[in-house]
Amino acid sequence: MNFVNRSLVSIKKRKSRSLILFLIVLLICNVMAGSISVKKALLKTEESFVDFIPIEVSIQEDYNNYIDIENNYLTEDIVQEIGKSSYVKEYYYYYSYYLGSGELKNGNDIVIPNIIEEESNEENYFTFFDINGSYQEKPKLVENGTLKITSGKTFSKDDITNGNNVILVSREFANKNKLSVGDKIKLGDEITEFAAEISTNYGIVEDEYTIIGIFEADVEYERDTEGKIVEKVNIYADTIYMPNEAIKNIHTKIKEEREKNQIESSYDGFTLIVKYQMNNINDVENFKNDNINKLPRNFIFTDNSESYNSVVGPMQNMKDLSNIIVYASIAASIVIIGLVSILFCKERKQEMGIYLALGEKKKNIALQLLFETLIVAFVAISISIFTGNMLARQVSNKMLKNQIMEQNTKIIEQDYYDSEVLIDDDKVMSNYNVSLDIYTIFIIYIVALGSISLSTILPIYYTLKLNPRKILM
Amino acid sequence: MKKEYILTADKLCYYYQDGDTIRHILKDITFNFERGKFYTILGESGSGKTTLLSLLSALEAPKSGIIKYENKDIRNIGLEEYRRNKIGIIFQSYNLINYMTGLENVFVAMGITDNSIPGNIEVIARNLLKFVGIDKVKADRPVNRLSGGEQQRVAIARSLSTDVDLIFADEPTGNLNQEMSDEIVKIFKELAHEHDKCIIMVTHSKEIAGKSDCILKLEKGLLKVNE
Repeated sequence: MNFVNRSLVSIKKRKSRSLILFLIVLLICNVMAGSISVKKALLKTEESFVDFIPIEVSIQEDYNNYIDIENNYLTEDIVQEIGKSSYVKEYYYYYSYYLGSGELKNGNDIVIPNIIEEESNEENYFTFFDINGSYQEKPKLVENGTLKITSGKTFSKDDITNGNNVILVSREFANKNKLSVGDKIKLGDEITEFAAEISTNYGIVEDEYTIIGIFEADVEYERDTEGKIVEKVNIYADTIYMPNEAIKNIHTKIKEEREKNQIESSYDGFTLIVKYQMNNINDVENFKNDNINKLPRNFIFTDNSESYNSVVGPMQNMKDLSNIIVYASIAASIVIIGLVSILFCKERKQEMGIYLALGEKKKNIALQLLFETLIVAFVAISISIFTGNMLARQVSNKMLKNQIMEQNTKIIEQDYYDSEVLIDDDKVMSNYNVSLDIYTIFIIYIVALGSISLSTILPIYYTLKLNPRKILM
Repeated sequence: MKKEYILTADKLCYYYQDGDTIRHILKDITFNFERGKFYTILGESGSGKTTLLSLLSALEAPKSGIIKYENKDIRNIGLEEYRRNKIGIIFQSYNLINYMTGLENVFVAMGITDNSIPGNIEVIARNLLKFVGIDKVKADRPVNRLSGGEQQRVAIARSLSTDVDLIFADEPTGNLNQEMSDEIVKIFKELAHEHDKCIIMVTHSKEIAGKSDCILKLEKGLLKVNE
């Protein structure tokens, strides 16, 4: 009977001791396995955030340190050059502008901060709309599914290349203005010189645009003070999409008209919006440092890491907690299983003395003790992987929901209208899934068996230091 | 021709520190043990009999002196290997693994030694148990459900299972009644005289010692021989 068989006989015949060890390991490993599963699930969810909450770096004018320099523009060439950085997962850019009309109404009744507010209801006053460009056939939000074209079509290659006057409008906007695909609308700006006493109007510069598509967006952002959605609002209802070149054309016309009338040029809202999506949150600073010198004077990088971190924050708390629980359970397993094993070894002092007296190699005695513990532990760990996972799923779902709710309350207390950084708990929870995969199971076995093996060091040392004569004679 | 001894004790000394004084237990013990003989070491309680046995069986190291097995220093053989392959030890309190059966206790020793007796291990173990008077039913019973005499027989079978020629027994009859003691002594004599084993038994009973081939008397740490 070698040490392996002796281990098996010992486990089989010393049932009560095996059961005690089994229950202790089961208890500790449930906590350990649960925490590891939660940590893995959180990491996975965090990874998926990169897709549904992209980590984006933008380029903006630095208004705080602005120096007036001639021909200091951000160009598409610069944007594309920076886009070659290895930190960039993907990027897109478009021109943003605003154009108005004296005849059209806003799609949304509700005032939303990023929509240019209707200045007045009086006649002859313009209603302004956000104009977003696109350098690709499908604007970014259509491509990623945020906006769905429900009537008509998106831009053609020809529209993009030649800057045809074609537009995509929201369903809300179309309904309010009784418009449909194929209808034409006029959009432009008033050429006005504002003076202290009296303002002079030099007429309107406008172009005619054909509606080629109508989009809908299922975006829910209106929430109560607890962060719960109370009303569905399409924040893109007053955004009109057209090819970048078309925006550039109308902007040039308006600019030329202003210059012709010697109206002092100032900021007119024409902006090149750039979004670089990073591979990883940690890439943001490196990307900025590597590319800051490529930016024209007066331009800086900004990023959404704050919003990202506000979403990741609750998960980070949970990750920290699960880390603490993993380390605590490792320590507990080493101490508790170590002490229990020492007690069992003391009880088996005579048996160990017999092996020593029979000339058994100390290595084999150590292996027998290790093997006995590991066999029982292996069974307990195998069960804990599933039970721990189940328990962790129940507990962590509630904890994460609470954390999100707390975070939302904090955000709302700070700035009620900054709804874009509010965490959509449904979206987070649908991505959060405490499940088992081979890698997680492997990690749990390694951590649990490793810490249990460590716990047997002291009992084995104690056993090997025994003097068989003192025990047996 | 020089005689070959199975075991030689050469000037063995053992003492221990008791406060400021050194207590000498064994002083210059020298003796040669032969195969095919049944030796008893006789002495009063505290005379050092068990200490001498523990030195000879390598459970304890002497303070000075040499122990030779077949003329080889046991330190050169390796104390662990010496216990594993050269000797068998029988204890007063049997020292069997109490959650195992008699048969399993024998299996344990057979699994540890490098001397395997050729053949099916279960058949060999059962034959050894049968030789010492343990039948199949008793062999399959947990040892804590056997009588003292039966447990000691299992212990003897265990020591024989490693196919050694030298067996030490520390007061093996100490916990047994007269009848059982006689049975055990009879087995030892048979092992020595019919199977050419060397049996070295510690006892405080003059009567049992009288049944051996050679009595080694320990008095005040010194060994006196009565053949």
